[in-house]
Amino acid sequence: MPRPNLSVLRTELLHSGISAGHVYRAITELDEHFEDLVSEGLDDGRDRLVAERMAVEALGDLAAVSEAMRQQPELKSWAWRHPRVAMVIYPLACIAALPAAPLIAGIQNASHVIRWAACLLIGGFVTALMFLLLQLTITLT
Amino acid sequence: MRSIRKATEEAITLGEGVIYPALHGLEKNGSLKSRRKAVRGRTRVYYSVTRKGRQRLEKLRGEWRRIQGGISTVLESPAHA
Repeated sequence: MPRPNLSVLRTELLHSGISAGHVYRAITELDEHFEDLVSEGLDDGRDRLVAERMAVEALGDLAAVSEAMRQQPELKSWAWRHPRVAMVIYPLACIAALPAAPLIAGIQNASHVIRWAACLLIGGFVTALMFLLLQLTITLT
Repeated sequence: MRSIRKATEEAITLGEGVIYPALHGLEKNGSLKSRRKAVRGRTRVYYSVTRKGRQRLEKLRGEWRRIQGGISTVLESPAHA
């Protein structure tokens, strides 16, 4: 089935420093455009295979799309445009974010943490109750 | 792209995919603005030209006319006739 190889284009664009957001958007729009062209061909009464082949032709060479994106500096990622700043900021941001890592992990696994805390509370309560009963038994006998 | 192809009598024919990088670049520099609208389960993006975009177009049009005029003058001069 002829389909444009968008995963190769995605990898190529990301490797050439295009920001992930722009890559995602371009890939999504190209994919939707392809589907539109195929639908158009099918509506015109063409066979699916023929419609897809025509859609690939109409979409054009993906290398040209890649080249057009790479030629636009405004589409490059921030780190790509300012590599020196990024090399300083990123490690510092990572170090600064380290103390927040347990908190983030806790928020992401909130259900497990709540269950674990509830178990701990119940365990503590049962232990305290047992100690109390033991103390009462000693006192009363 | 089809309109461009038709308007230029097929002098300019580009793959339809090439339009997206151009649109994204123009949007990023503020010449275009976009809005998304869901149509029959798909997201359609509608672009419109901003004031900055119109100014840029006028500037580019002026530059193009200047270059075109310069080339025409050279080509039509007696030395090149």
